[in-house]
Amino acid sequence: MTFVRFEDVHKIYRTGEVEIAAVDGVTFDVNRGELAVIVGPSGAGKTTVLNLLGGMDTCTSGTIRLGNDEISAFTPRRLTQYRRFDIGFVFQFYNLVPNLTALENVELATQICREPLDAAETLLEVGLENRMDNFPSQLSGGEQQRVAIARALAKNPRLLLCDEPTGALDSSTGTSILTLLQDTSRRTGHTVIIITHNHALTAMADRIIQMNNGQVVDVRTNPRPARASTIQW
Amino acid sequence: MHTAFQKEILRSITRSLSRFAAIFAIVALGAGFYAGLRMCAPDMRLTLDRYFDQTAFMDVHLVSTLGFSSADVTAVRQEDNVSVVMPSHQADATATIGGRRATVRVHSLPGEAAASTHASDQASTPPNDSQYLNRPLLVAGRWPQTSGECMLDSSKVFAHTAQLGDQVALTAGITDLADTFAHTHFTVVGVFDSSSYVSFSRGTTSLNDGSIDRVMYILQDDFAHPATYTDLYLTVRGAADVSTFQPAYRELVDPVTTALEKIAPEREVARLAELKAEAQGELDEKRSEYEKTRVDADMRLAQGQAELGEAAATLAALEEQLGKAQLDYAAGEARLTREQESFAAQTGEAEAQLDAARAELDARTAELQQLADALEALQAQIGALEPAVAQLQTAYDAALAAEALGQVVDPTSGALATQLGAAQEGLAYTRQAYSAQSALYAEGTAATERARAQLEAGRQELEAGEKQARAQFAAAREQLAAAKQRIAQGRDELEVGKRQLDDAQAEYQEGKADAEAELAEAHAALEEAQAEIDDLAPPTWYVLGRDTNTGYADFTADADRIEAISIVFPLIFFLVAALVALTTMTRMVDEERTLIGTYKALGYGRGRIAAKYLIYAGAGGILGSVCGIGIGSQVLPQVIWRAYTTMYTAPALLTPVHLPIALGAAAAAVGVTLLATILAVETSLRESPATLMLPRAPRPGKRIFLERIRPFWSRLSFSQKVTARNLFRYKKRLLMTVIGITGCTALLLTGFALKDSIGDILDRQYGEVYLYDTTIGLDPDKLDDDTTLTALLNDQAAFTGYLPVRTEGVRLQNTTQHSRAIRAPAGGDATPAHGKVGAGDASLASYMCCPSDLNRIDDFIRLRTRIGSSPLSLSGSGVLLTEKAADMLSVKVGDSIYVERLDSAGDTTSDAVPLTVTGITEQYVAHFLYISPDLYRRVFDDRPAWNGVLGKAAVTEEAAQEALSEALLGEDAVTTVQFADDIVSSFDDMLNSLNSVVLVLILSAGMLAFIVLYNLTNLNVLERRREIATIKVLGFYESEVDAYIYRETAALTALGCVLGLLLGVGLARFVITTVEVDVVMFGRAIHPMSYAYSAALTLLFAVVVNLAMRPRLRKIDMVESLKSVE
Repeated sequence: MTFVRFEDVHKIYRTGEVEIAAVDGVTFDVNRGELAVIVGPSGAGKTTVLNLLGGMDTCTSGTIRLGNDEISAFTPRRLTQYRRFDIGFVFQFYNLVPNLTALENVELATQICREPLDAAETLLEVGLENRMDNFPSQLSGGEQQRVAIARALAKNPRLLLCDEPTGALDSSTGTSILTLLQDTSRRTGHTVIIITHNHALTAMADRIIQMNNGQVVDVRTNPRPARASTIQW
Repeated sequence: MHTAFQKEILRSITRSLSRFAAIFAIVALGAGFYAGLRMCAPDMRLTLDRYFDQTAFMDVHLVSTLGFSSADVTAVRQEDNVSVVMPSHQADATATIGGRRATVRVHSLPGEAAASTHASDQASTPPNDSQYLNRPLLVAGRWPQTSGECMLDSSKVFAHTAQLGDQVALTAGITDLADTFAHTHFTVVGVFDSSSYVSFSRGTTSLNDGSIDRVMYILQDDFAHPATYTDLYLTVRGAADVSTFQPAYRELVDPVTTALEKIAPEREVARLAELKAEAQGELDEKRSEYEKTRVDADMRLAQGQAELGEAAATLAALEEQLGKAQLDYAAGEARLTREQESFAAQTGEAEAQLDAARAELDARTAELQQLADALEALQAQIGALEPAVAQLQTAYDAALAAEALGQVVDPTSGALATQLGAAQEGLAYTRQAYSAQSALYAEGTAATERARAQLEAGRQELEAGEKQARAQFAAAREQLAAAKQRIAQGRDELEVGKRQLDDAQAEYQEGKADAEAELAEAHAALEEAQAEIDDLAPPTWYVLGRDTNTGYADFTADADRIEAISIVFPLIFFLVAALVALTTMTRMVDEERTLIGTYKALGYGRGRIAAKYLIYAGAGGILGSVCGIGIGSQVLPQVIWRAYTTMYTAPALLTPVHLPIALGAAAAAVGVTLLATILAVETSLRESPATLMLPRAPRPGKRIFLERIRPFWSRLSFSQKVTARNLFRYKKRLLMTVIGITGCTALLLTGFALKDSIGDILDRQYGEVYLYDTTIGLDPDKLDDDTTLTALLNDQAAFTGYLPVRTEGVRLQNTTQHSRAIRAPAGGDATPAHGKVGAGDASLASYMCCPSDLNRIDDFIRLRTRIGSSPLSLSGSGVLLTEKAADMLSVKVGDSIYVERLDSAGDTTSDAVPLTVTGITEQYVAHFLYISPDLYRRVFDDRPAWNGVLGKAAVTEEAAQEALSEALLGEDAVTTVQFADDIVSSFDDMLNSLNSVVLVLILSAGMLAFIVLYNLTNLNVLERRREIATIKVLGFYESEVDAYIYRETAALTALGCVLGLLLGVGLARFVITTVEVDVVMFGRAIHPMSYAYSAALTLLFAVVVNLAMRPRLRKIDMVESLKSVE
């Protein structure tokens, strides 16, 4: 069942006279509960897709749907609500508020959405029950990313978007984060979309969308995704 | 020259204009505010100095209690360095100007010199006359040219300015008006401004209420004694070339002052001698006149006396003559008497002889008679005998016959015969006898006849003699009678003469007495005059500098006050500038870590790298300084000056850029900025290039102190916690923002408080403390039966109530001052002329008010404490003192103050009397001491003579008040009438001009807030772009994003606001007490609304800044959140 749908989405940036089509007629679907990976090299337009899907940007043409909502038709205000209630976002650089403890960083998200999960429990679920009162600077990269994931999960979002979640992490920490994401997806049925340039990650995905030059070059499903913990790069 | 490094610096400026702008703006604000404020006082001083120079204002003012002669003028002129001496006249008088009463100071105008001043070029020197000082400037009309013309000052404060053509009548002077002025009626032909009167306060006098309302110039000849000058104005050589406020000025003028003070005693003595000589000359003339008169009188008296003497002598001679005549008469009478006596005696003798002869004759006659008788008897005998004989004979014959006849013979016959014989014999014998006798008788008769004849002859002889004598006597008597009559006549004449003489003498005596009395009187007068001359004390010279000129003193004091303020205010700005620079540069250095690392790696030295930031900050600082000082130095002094212009009559403010201040301000501002930059750069520069290349570890989150206070922390909402932590994360920014906002609010509050407190002077004084609205000055001497005045006051249509009071000038001292004054009485007499209060007087000039009715005083003046408004009552046990006076004297309730009463000339008349202060009462304008009539009587041993009336007028419209005033002034006893409304309206102008100051404060405060908040927000946004982007991605609404950032701003603003209100109270108090003049107490209470306004404005500024910064927040792309940490 299609949950996320991109239909001929274009995104054109104008810089003076020059028009650059970052996303040039992208079409793909992601089903509910799937863990999808959008993969491609730098400049392939995957971040733009992420931006569009995450409600951080609007497309120039085409439609983007999430469930029954047509995101591409949202007003900025509605987009904010969409980000607020429907999307969980995991950043490459965690983007934790340095001045907040782990718990508080999670609360930063839970306090603005409708039916959040308990922040502390979520942290417990990501295995940080002992680090809740630590500030990001007191946490390792992996721990910080766990906090970030917890922050995204605690919102109980309809869609979990992850931007290079392992990009700033070493391989083994990255693996554990991916495992966490996969487990969460499996366990909670969350739809997860991971954006990465790292092809190694495709192994764990239910669906792989490959992009290049602003276009989707390949969409395939992986009937038997690998356990994330087995992935190495 | 354009090295890559330099280009980089230039670009770093142009590419981060907002950051540069922050430094620029705060430095501009700080330096501009500082410089502008600091230059205000110098500008004022410069303006005044220039004005003084242009109007040839005197450097030294000499006043002598006995005036100056031309010799004095010459003596003064000969002193070293005395440039010009202008002798002048001055006198105070009560006048009616265009129907209004006013106290005026009258000056003499050197007519020709004044007339030669070009009207078109008022401030410039009149072409030829360097001897003309204190030149008034003609504002309207023309210069007085003929006697009876005058010029009046243009007055901003008095609502009723003089009109050209108005009549001025001088009605009373300090001494006899005629002694002072040759004319008392003048026509206003001109209006002037004068450098001698720059402030609205025209000085003090001993007339009326003690203050000068107006100043006028008349021609010198309209003074009664044009040759005796009351004032000498002089300039000191070279003094005009230096500022009157510089020490150099004092250095020039002081020696002259000292020299003048040195010659003063000599001149005083000389003047005394001169005056004495003059007076003596006059007196001597009078004396010689007197002598002449006296000699004349003496002569006339002597003549009279001589005449009287002569008359007396004549009378005496007459008397003597009369005496002699009397004597003669007496002698004559005596002689006559004697002669009469002797004659009588003789006559007597003769008569006696005659009588004897007659007696003899008579005897003889008697004898003869006897004889005759005897003869008769004999005859009878004979006759008898004969018949007897015949009978006998017959008988005998008969007997004989009878015998004869014979008859018987009787025996008898014989007897008869015998008888007959005997009878016959007898007859015969008788016959014989008879014959003998008869013969005898015949003989006797013959003899008698002879004797008778003899006697008759004798008698006749006697009678003839007697007749002759009698005739003689009668003649003599007649003579005597004539003489007597003559004497009597003479005596009468003498009497008349004597009476005349007596009259003349009496007249003479009377005349003499009169003359003597007159002379004695004249003499006494002469003696008195002489005594006066002898007692003539030497005059006192007062050598007064410019600082005794009220306008100058006020002006200087105000300039000093502004200066005092100008030092405190800008501190905030500099502090904030430093913090702004520090935070900004710290951020910049943080941002450019990698760049610094790169530079280092490239081999740039530390100094060179630091130079970039120093140049960056320095450029901002210098540009800001230039702009700020340029604007501040022009705008601020003008604005502040405008607030003062209602009080001063002076030319437009000169606002040059005072270099030392400008450089100082710039140096301070730039220095502060550079210092902050060095602090910001220093740590980064120390790091190695390698560490610099790495992104700086984000500032670790930290538990803040507040978290330790669990109950508090747990109560905070999540976002409040975030805000709290964020606040404490950036302490410099916190400091900067809080200080900036504190400053902003404090400035605002100060501005509003300043307005409040000055507005309160009137509102509280005339709205709350003074319940009366009309002050009527009375002349107690003329008060007694002014029933129409009483009727007028009692007229309910005119006054709803009135209260007579006694108000008089007193000097107050506290116990310390008093004891010091007693210890050092020598200097106590230094009261200069014209009732000015000498500087350094250890006493306070005040009014003493004694209400006539203690029960009703509360209806007219609310005596109460300012704080708590608890009513105070006036009792017999002590006095109430007004607050400012109590403050200035450091007197508390229960303390004693020493009160000296003053006479009309402003000299103390009584010993200082200690009185207990039983209360300190709210008061804003002037110092008062309230005393009960009881205590007044007891202490001063004097009935309080009511010299004023406090009234509550029933009318409020100006026209009606005017009419009431006219009616009152028509009364003899009424000297002045003043309505509170007039005062209030004249103060309103002043208050309005204060608005510009408040506006400047609001603007400055606003700018301060803007810069600080802008900088804070800017830094926050710059530094937390990522965070902001993240929360945006997390789905924060715009308002939530705003709040996320602005909550900090809001918190800091709130904190700053609260602190600012606190600081503002102090700052306001400082400014108010600094600006406050001695005789006025500004309101002390800051209105609640002012707090509200200040806080609201501060918050408004914050809101505006936030709104201004919103686009920047909006512009933050969520995509930022995806970027890597730089």
